Amino acid sequence: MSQNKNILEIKNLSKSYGNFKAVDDVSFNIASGEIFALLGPNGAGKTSIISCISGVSKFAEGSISVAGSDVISSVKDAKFNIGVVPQELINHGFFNVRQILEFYSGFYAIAKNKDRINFLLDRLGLWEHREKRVRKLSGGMKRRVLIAKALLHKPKLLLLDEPTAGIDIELRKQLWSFVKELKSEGMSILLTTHYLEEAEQLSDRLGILHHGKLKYLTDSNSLISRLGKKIICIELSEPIKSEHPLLIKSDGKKLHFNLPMDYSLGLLFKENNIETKDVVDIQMEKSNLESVVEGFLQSKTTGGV
Amino acid sequence: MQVPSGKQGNLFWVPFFFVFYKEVRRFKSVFIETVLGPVISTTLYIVVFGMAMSAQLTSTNDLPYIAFLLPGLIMMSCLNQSFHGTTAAFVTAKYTGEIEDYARLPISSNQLLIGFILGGWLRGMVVSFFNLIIGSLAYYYLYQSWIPLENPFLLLIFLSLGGLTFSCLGAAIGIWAQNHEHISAIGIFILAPLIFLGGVFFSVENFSPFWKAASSFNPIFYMINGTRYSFLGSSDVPVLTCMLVSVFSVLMIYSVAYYLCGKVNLQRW
Repeated sequence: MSQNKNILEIKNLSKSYGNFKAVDDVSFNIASGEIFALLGPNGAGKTSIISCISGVSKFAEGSISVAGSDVISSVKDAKFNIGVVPQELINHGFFNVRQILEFYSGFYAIAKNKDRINFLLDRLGLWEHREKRVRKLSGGMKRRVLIAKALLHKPKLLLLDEPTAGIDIELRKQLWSFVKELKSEGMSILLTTHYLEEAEQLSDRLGILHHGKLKYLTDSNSLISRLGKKIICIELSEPIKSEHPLLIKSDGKKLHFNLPMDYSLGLLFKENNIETKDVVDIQMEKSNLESVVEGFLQSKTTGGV
Repeated sequence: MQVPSGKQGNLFWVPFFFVFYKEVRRFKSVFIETVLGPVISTTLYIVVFGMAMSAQLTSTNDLPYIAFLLPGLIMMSCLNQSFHGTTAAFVTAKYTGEIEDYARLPISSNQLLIGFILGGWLRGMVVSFFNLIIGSLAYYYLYQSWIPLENPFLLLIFLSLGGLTFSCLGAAIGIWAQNHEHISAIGIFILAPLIFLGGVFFSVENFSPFWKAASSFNPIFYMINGTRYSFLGSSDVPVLTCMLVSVFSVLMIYSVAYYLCGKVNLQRW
């Protein structure tokens, strides 16, 4: 398959719940082997789009096709090409991890899938938990089971709906590395996330959703570096007087700066005549998604998609 | 390097089989609740009504009362267990969130429904099998002869039709229910009266004309009579009528369950 062929094509998708329009005329494509991140605050419409692609929600306007199959008229064909990792955990009360993976392989018409199941158990750190009931696992482990379930049939398109919400940093990094491996194997991935860092680390392109509308499509790094901010607090052994334009607060010894994401600390030190030997401590807080979205909405540089 | 998936089989039958298989494994994993409990319950009915009271009662054909009672008890338990099999399948799926998974999987409403329904039916049949053994042993203990079983094949058919009807009903209720109270309400206000007025414990010939007429609208009445005919060779209504009503019930209630499956938004509780 050519690298440029679109695995997911969404055209003019709109989805309403009663009078509330959750998704409003959204269009975008994902190419083979591409990771696309959808960013947006709660209620922006991210999960609604995932639900429409995965066939859980019906929609009246627009079209979605996955690997050439329309998700309405050829829903089964489309579903065989999709793996979904939902946001909410699933308990599977009666069964252990291995049994669940066997059943779900069967649901994708694969009666014997031992090698793939063993590979996923091993790769996702579930091997030693394979005989445990799913409901006995921790939240992080349950999320790994969700990911394993979605990959049993090696789908062409993987939908990750906030895959690292509520899990620790170590696991998050393991998952990022695994997602990159999937991409290198040619899998296309649609990721929704609250974490800028996640979008930055993983995605080739991203879109911002706000009130159901897709406001901006770009490559990940340019948006975050253009709109993201970092707050730096530098604590010095001796007080200095600074009139730097990006200084937001100072008591002489503790200086707070609000900097663009790509602003170098070396430059900041030079501009303020700060010697490294005088620095006692540096604290940095990167802007969160909400502030980037807010920054984006305030900026008038774009006219939508 | 990723390990590839196994080979895909038939896209309809393999997923369908696994829905059914998972459901069977589910009820097997709680064997005490799903099989042993109902069998003990039926055994108590046999001991109290069949053995203790049988001496004071006689039934049609001059057979002992237990011969009349056993077919009714076996069918009653079969209907109950088939019903609870599918309601439990949907309720569990709604509790765990699996119900949302099913919507994401390449499984059609028919595959899901029939898989669950056959799971419920099998639970009813397994319980019926054990009840038949225990009932037969009780009869032998009392009368030193085996209970008459005129037509075992017909018994299998009527138990299957009854089990399927109530498995379909359980699916419809399981899909429709928004909480546990809905399921309990159906059990108390609809299922229990239909079963008790369906002629499990005595012939509807003993009813007042009103209740006798009301029973003719009760599909369970026909299923129990069909089962009784399979044992004794006689019943309150012709066996063909029993068969037609039972088949019609399966088809009608399956249609309702299928309609609800497409209509109701299947969400977790």
